[in-house]
Amino acid sequence: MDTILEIKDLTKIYKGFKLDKVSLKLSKGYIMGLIGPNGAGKSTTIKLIMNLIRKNSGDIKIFGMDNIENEREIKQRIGFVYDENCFYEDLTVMEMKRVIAPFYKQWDNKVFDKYISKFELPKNKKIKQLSKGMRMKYSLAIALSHNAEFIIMDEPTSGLDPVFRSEMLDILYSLIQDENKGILFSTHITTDLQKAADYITFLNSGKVVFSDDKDSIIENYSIIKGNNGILDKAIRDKFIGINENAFGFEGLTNNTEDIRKLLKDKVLIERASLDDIMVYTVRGNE
Amino acid sequence: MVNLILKDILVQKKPFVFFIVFAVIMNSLYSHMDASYVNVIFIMLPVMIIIGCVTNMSIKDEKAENMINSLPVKRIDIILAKYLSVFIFIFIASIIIFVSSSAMNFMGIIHLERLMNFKDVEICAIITIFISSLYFPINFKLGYTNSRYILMSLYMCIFFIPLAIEKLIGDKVKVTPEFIVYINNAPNWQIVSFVICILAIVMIVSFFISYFLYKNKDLA
Repeated sequence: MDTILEIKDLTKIYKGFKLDKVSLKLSKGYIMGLIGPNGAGKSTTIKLIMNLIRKNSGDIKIFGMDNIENEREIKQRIGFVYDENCFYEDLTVMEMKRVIAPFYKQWDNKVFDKYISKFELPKNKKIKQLSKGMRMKYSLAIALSHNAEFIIMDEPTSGLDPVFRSEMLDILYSLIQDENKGILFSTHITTDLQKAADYITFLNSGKVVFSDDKDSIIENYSIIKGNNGILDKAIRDKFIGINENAFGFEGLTNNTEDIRKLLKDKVLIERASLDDIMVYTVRGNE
Repeated sequence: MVNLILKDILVQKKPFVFFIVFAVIMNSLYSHMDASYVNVIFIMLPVMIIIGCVTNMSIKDEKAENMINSLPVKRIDIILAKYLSVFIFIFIASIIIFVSSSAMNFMGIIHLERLMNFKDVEICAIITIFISSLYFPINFKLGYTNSRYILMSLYMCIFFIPLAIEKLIGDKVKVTPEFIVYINNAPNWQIVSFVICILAIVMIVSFFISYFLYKNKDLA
């Protein structure tokens, strides 16, 4: 398995925030979702990968090369989709393409034209006149037109309607079929990842909660529902987070088998969604 | 590198059209002034256009900073390209003023005592390189939004403050024309060489300060 991205003990310290020894690995042919609440460190991690901000310590290797020492070579092979409009707003779709294309050795105008037609983007419209969805499509068309092997997307689906989000996930899914590309995709819309991602890395308060394949995560975590009366100290300790109200409790656990043995038919055990995992982990046992 | 400079020119397309119109209007205004003022005007106008180009480049690049830094370039390339773009702007601004003023003069729309010459371009280059060498490190450190008044202030310092002082003091000290005329009439190649050396040192020092400030800058 060829590794596209390998991050080891990546640390970045800001005033009031620390990205703390983040480690993760992504291989060719897979989509990794980077999830976490706002301020968890998703964008910081992506900016560090793209060398937009400087790390305090740790290693980032892309295609087996250091991301700073081999910056030019690596960026030739990366397609980056931004979370906001970073293009020159006064230029048209085609003018902006003419600015960007010469930077890439493998730029392919035919591929660009194909995506422009597929996404129904108006060639002569100024970028500032495009809707958010169109700008995202444009950013994606640019990222896909130079035969990038690694696509990095920072919150690409936030603020987009479900139809376009679904369309975009289909595009990503079709891209990954040639097994030569890898995609890292940050979002807090976890339902998108449930559809498309193979691996999930969950960041919370600058730390990796888990980085594993999606199916194992879904298998490991469960939502338990039952009466408040059965919650003693020993049981509570088996939960990552519990939400209690007058009608009973609902909690997230990664000790499903223990709970099953201890409480048998006193509780209802359901499969946890990524949303559940994120919400309960962030809230904890407050 | 070349692509970064080309990018700086491509994003200036619209301002260039504006600057041509601006040049035509200004030409018709200053043509009635006496020769000593024309000496200043042939330097002041191109510098104004270059400052406009640098300002426009800084505004646009600030918004597109993450995009530029995501391209397959190193930060040192981005810095170097900005410094080199200034030379392109000097060339373009001089062409705009020279062609527009000469054309208007030959067509009889204005009547100039003399045409713009290479000496004007030299002085314009000296002033522009000096101003941008002071401005770029601040721009790389603070970004355009936090440094937007600095470039204009530098321009004012070079042209308008001496003029204002002269107005205040009266005929006792003729600051602006004398200063410009003095450089304009530099007697020999030693002075020119000296100026070039000083300017090269200022620019190189400025470049390294910019590099030092920008290489470890965390982008927003």
